[in-house]
Amino acid sequence: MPKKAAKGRSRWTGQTSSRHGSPERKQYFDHDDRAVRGPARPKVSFRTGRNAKGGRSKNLQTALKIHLEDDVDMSDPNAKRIRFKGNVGVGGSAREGCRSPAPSRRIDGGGRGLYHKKGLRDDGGWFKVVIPYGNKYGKDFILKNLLSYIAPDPIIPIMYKIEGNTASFFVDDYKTALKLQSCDKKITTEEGFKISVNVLPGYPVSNMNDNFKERLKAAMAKRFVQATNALDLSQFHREPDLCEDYFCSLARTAMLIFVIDIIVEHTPQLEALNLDGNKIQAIDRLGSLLSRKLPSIKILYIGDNRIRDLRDTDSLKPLKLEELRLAGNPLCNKYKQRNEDYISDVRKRFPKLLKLDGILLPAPIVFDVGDDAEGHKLPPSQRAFAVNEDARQVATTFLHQYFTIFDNDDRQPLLDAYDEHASFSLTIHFPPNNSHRFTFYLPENRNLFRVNDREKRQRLLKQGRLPVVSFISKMPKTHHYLNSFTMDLGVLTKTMMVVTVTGLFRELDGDKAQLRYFNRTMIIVPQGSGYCIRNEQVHITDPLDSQKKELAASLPALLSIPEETKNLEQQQEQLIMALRQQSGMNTEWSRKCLEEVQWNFDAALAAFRQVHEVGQVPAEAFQS
Amino acid sequence: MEQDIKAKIDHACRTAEEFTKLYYESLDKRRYLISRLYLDSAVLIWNGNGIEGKDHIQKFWIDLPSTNHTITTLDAQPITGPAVADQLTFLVKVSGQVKYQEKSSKPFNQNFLITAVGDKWKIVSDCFRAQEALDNS
Repeated sequence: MPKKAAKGRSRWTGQTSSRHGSPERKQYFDHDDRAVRGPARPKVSFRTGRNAKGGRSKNLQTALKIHLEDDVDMSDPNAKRIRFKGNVGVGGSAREGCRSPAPSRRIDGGGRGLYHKKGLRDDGGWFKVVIPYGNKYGKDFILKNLLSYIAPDPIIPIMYKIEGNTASFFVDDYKTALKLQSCDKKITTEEGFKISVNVLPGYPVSNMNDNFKERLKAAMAKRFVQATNALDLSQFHREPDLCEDYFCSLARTAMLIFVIDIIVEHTPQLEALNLDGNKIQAIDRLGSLLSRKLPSIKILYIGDNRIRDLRDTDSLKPLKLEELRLAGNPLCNKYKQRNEDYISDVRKRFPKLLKLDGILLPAPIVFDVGDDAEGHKLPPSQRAFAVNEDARQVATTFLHQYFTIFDNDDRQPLLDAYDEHASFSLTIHFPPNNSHRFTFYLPENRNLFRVNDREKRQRLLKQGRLPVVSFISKMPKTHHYLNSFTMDLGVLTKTMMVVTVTGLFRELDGDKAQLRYFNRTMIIVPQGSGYCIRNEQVHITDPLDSQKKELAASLPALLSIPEETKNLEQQQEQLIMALRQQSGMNTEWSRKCLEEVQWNFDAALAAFRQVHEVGQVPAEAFQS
Repeated sequence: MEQDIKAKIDHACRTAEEFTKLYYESLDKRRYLISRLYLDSAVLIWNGNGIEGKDHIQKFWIDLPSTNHTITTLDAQPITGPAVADQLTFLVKVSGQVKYQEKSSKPFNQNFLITAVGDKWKIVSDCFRAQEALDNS
């Protein structure tokens, strides 16, 4: 939060918020004024002071050394183990940067002599402060002394905890990290020992359980101002109600999604969001999340983050931003001395912007070409359209039957679905160099852009019921996903209707089980008491990734149906077996008997006995 | 009879080539004239949104962001039999990519029923579907 904006009316805190007036809170925003006190001297080597108990473990010494030095003897199993342990949850450390969202930190070796290993880099990341034997002194003692040493600057310790005899916590600020590093062995305990303070790049992890969610919600509610519909999540990882136990870094995508989902749940119409000072780098992700989930946002503060290029903010374009704060991001450095360019480049992306970095922008003069954003929107897609409700029902029933048979092993019954003079043609589209995945369809592709020969155009148009159904029977076996279907019914006359169906199906032949997207247009005509297809055009292509994902998401619901059927069949088989044994009837008659009483075993047996007593069970029932 | 069918197939293919060229040129560059291609009572279904009548269709297209279509496949069949009586009618299917303003392009399918009215071809029905994931909600 910039100090300027904090004065006077504040959208983020409101007038009455208790947080607002708290001097402690205010301090949090003041980090920019801090001066580095004392030389930021990289620590030379680690020598433990006299241990309180006099005897210090050799292992510990090794372990601590390993924390600080690169040249670990990896053949020492002890050292290896401890070193590894020391890095657990510290994904951002120099050697194990893979879990960190920050780029891996290469230690700058220039001019640091032998001990450069301990140099910290100001790359906007996080730092872990480790205090060996910190368990002995208590949190208050340690923090109070550290604080008095680096005063007047504050320390916001994140996730302070004791592991073994080591106390550790995290800080988010490079200057603080440097100062804490210089506290090493500056604090003397009552017993006369000097407390070691080690600082290294590090990144905490914390679990997102239900308890956390409740505390998170409470902390967020406190930061919400109803009157202005604004939520202040600036420097959220420092939130005093959370930071002792949790690491709430909005720079982590998982946390960001978690937090945004809570906002959507409670205030989906949020208009102002402050994300200043959260070390956010993946702004494209943020942009797509916000524009999808919180489209009402008009005021967005994302200053003092790690956004490197203005282009990264393109993902925010769908938001109709009126106010934006970007100051304090690396991208602004590119515009030093070029303020005009900065404003115009930002405005290109956010033409409705009235305020940038707290400064009112002069109203732009534009040509009156109408408002593209307002007037030219794509209407949302609908799953189905029909000119007439009755026709929709006819078409739905027809297609349901059609695709049920189409998905069977035997497609011959489709002879009834086609007119005697039916026409059928197929086109396919596939990515370059992927023809091998379309080998069946390839010779049948009647794409008129490719097939110029008159004879071939005639030949590829299948004509007549038999040729059409015989071709369809040869097509790969399929399973169509009905819940992916769309249906459009456009023309309806007494003599015909035109239906277009799209959706996904899986090929069951071969080991690849290709998923396909299809678009089929059918001209359906009445015939006798029913309907049949007179013309059909099929187009087959690959599904998009988004379609695959959506299908996967809907699959559990789909799969349960065949699973149930399968179970039912198994149960029926068992009942038939049991009735066979009890009655002596064969399988066929046992089934008939059970079917008549809706698979109630006792009723079936009773019925059998009743009929058997009067000798009415035919002899064939007992033939095997 | 067979010769007649063959001639109709040829005719359908040639007409489809000419028609799609004209149609997408109009849609991308001269959209204000697009309604000339439609029958008065034509139906346009755009991603499941139905628009009936030439004038409504014209308005719908005008309100849509500017487009750029690239066509990759084309197919055409003549429609014969009692469904259309003697009216010369073709079924045309197209697939390709469409770009809205500067946004990235989407694959789409579109099919048309076109019929001869006097010496002009007119669209009876126009059905557009973008290939996209649709929420099941």
